[in-house]
Amino acid sequence: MTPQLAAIIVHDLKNALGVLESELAALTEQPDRTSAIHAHANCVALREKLIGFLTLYKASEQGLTARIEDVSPADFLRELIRHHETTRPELNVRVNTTGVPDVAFFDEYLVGLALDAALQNAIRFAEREIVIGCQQQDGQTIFTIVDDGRGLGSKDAQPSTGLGMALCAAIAEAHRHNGRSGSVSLENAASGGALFTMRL
Amino acid sequence: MATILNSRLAKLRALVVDDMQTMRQNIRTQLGQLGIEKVDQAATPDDVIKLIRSTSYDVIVCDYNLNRETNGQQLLEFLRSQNMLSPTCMFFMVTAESSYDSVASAAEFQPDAYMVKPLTGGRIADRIERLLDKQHALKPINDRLHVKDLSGAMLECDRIQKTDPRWIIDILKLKSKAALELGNLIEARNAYQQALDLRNDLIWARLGLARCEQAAGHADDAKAIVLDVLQKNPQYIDAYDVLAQIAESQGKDDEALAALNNSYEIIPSARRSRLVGDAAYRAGNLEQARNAFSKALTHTRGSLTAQVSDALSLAQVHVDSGEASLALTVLSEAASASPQIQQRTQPDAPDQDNDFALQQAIIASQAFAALGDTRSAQAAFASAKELARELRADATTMALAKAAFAVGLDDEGSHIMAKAIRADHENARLVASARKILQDAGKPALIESVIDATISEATLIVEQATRLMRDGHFDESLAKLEQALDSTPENTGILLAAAQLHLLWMSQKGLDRRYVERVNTYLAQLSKLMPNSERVAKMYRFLRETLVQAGKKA
Repeated sequence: MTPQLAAIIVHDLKNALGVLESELAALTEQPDRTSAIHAHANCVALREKLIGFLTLYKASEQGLTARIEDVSPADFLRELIRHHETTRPELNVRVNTTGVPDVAFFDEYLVGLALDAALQNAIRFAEREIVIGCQQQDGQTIFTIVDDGRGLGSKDAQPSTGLGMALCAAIAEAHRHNGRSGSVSLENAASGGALFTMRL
Repeated sequence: MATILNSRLAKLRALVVDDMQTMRQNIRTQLGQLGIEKVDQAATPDDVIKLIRSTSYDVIVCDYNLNRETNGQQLLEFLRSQNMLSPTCMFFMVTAESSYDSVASAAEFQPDAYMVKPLTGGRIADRIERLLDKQHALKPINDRLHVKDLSGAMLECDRIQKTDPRWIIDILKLKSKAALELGNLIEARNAYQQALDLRNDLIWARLGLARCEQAAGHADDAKAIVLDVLQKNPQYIDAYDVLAQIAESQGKDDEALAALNNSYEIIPSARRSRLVGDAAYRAGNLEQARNAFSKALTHTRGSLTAQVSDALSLAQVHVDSGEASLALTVLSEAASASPQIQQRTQPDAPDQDNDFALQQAIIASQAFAALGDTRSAQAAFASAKELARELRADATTMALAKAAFAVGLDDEGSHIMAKAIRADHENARLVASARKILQDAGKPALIESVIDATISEATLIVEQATRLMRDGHFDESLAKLEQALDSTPENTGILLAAAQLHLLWMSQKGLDRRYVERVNTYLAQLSKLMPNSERVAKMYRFLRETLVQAGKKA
């Protein structure tokens, strides 16, 4: 967490808060439920961003300790999707149930934060569909999020602050097992969109 | 957010614990949106205890930061260690994300789920649903365990493992625990190993393997495993407890005390203090015992977690340290505080007053005797004798004997001591404390005439029964032991002999349903009286072999 990154993140948060402020201003003039729901979703996303920032800050200052528990990835992913306050409800977000192990070992809270952030990103860029998966390979649990957007490096992609990936990286790093720590990556998917991978 | 109509949730009774009213209201509203209308609130640990006594809750949502003196974790420890929560009660600990990773690992009593603020109704609903699913899936196992059908429980574990594989870890925990209790070390080891194959650093499973070694009598191997676990996980409380148990089984009281002291450093609770105090007293370390019981006393003063035993233990330590007046002061303070404590903490427990008065009289008579006030000493002893209904093989009876010797009533003391020893002559700790009492009372000669003689008497019964069995007088042999058990039903030596001889009879003459039932009863008693015992484990094995053999012959 460099001061520069911190400054960028706070700037980003300030902007998001500004958007929320104008949404609320509009609502005071003309209250309507749809806009209120949207504003609420933005507010929730903002708070989660702040929590992400705090988590990241803590990781850089004190280090993060992962509380490893046995979790059913199927339950976990289903709940992740169900509770994600999406800004684009028209997208189809689903879990690919092939190969999902019955049980995996990770910190449900932290990985939830990470995947939430990654999902948020995917939602920004996706056209129609996002597929989330989980596999067990070589003694690691691997979560993937694939969107069908235009992939990385496309010209009209909105610049992100990097907070999401930094958070995911810190959380993966906190999952050490058999002398190996976890890792994350973001690359272009074979199908054209982006592929986020988190290995624990 | 939309209300989720869910009949499973609507039936649940919830308790919200937080010192801030706004937070309680917040959570109450969220629970209401899930359809959970029966919600009580509590702001302090004492409020919680009062409510739990009169109501059985299905869901408890508790903030970790309760108040300056107690936090949610300590409250949970108290509730779980006192068995105040119903087995299906779901305890949620709520914490801020800043303290998330510091609250969890060391705890010896875990909540069903940790949740991070801000709580949303949706997340609570998911967790509750998940826990309900788990309870439902594991119910067949827990039903068997409830009626003490451990083998049946293990069979259910095997079955449910296949139908509901996502609960594999909980299933393996239950299976290994049941197997260990049955002395079935092979199955226990398999279950622990199965868990480790899924994830090789599961500390409960590694500790489980250590417990298997201990039960097999390989104390040093067990210790090596535990020390290895502690090296990587120095906060793992259960490991210290196992270390203390191993040390005790080897008669190394000082090592046991050291392990418990280490555990106290990690979780400085009143309950741990008491464990340290008891161990220190047994190891003869009066200073540590005094500190430990004082701490327990001061930390729980005025709270619902107070126990009268702390003052009593402290008073006894004062007597043993030659501080008889201090002992009497502590006793009188306890006597005035006692009625309220009893009422607050265990209003339903029978004989509370009687028990306290008995213990108090026992210690008081020793104190008066030490101060040279013979009349008060004798009066206190007479009162104690009257209050003592049964003379069982326990510490209280030994203390009564000690008081008798202190007052100069040697014959009385010998009689009481002999009765206690006869009731469980193979109880090493009991015999050791008897020896110490006689040494400290300056009557070493009585060790032979009282302790050794009584032990010989009891061993004689077992020897006679064994000889009768050997000479073919089966029924007489079994009758002799049954008779002995009538007068001393919790004598572990006789229970073991009875189990063994019944099994010998059956291995020669074939199965007899009455005898199988008897052996099961003996072994159940023994498991309670001597947990983690190698001898009991061997006896269970003998039972299984006998049943298998008989099956083959049939």
